Amino acid sequence: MKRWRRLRLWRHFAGVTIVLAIPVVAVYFFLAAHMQASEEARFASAVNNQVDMWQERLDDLVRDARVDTRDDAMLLGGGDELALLRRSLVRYIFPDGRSRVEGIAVVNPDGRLRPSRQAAVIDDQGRPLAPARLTMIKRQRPWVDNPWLSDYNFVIEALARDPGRRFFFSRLRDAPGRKVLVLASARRDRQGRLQAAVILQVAARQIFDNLFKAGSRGQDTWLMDRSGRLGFTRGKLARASAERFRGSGRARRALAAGAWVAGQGHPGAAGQRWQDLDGTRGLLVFRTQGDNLLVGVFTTEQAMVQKGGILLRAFGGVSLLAILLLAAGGAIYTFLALRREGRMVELATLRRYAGTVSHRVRNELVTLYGQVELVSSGLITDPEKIAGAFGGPVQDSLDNIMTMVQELEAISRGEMQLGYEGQAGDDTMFKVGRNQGGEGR
Amino acid sequence: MSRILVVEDESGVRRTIVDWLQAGGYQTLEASAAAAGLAVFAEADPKPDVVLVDIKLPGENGFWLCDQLSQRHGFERVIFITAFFWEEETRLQLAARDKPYFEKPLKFQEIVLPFLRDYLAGGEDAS
Repeated sequence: MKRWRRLRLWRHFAGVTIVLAIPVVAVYFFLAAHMQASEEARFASAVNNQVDMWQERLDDLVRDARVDTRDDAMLLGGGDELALLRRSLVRYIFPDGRSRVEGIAVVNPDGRLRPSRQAAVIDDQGRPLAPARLTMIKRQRPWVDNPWLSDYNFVIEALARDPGRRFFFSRLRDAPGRKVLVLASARRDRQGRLQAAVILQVAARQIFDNLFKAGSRGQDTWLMDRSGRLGFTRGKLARASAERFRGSGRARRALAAGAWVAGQGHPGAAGQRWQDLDGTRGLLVFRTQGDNLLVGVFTTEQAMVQKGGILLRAFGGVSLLAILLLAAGGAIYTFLALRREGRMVELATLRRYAGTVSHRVRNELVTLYGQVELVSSGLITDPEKIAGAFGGPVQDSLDNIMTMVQELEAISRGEMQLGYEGQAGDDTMFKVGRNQGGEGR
Repeated sequence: MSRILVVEDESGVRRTIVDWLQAGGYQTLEASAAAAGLAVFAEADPKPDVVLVDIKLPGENGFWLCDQLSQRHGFERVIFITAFFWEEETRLQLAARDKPYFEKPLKFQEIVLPFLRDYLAGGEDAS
């Protein structure tokens, strides 16, 4: 088969394979985009639900603190202050002795704590923790039986500054080994003068451990106060996410929105936005607790589409396999078609060659029959003419027939190939040498 | 004496035909290709009475010569010689021209010479 013909068939095969592969590839990319969008939406929805729950828990903590300190502030001076504070504190204690707060205390107008202060080293029945349990807790929080700051003037100053103010929520404050928040309710006399403040103190880390930790595995989570100070970060990208959010001014705007929303009876503001952290793109979902706290969860886009990615890779594998099978099928078909066509060409070539041989033999027979008949019929009787005939045309024809026989033998041994036009060798029939059968006979 | 132009590219075949025609009492002219045959015919004086032409020739074939003789000289007494009568295309071309033909190998004493005698006498018009 001609080389160009073979190339053309293989090109056709490649073209058909590519054309058939295009829809598969197009579907792959369409599904990739669809799955990514779908997975992002699904994941964003899940994260939003989770952070909504966190927001509720955070708001519950603040509301509880507000109610409990307010009640205690109202009841101050009416009985056993230590027992009063202890009753309030046990509401924040888990049965195992862990606490959601560090302690509860009353602050005098001079900023000092009263002796009735209660550190969270009691169990949920108000009894002192067992020494072994306390020792274990102290390993993690050495300050647990004396968590107090050196002074609480900042509480008094904040409440005294505004006579109508009944509740105070501090920014994050440095304490040994941690950052703490102080929530306080004021006790005022009839004239509105500040007499004392009941405070609950909680560490940012405790908020994370008690409220967020269980649902934050593998996520970049952060907590920020209204001044933009970070209470905790968890995950490699959490700090970068929080700082980017704060640096852009969006943290301040979110807290401002949180104040307004809280005024409408809701826990706080909610939102989400895409962040690009040094080439890592991800979604930040954030919530506020009023205008006091801001919690954020950053999830990389890669993590969001991980599940979709698995499906997509599976589909990609199947697509690739389909294309390969398609190509293999096409290749087999092309190979068989080429072989079939090759056989047909061989057959046609053989037919043409048989015709050529027949033509050449008939020509030689014209000479042989003719010359023999001339002699046998007595039309040539001159011995010289007879010798000339047999030594000339007759001998040439016999030589040509012998050449043809040798040619057939060479072909049968595979030493000579038949050309497409049915000639032996590369020449056309009319170019075959005269002594190999004559020219154009 | 009738004159016959033999157009055959194979020299041994041509010589044998010429030998037979001369033995049969005819004058002969020879050419080894169609174009050469046309030239010989044009120059011949007197013109040949019959042109005996092989169909398969190098360059233009015998049908071409037949057509040229008809168109240029109004000459129609052409007899074909062929080793390709088994070929469909050859049979179709022969049928289209409605000329007599001899199939190779030629049987001179039995067919060719008797046919030519009758043909030139105006009897036969087909093989």
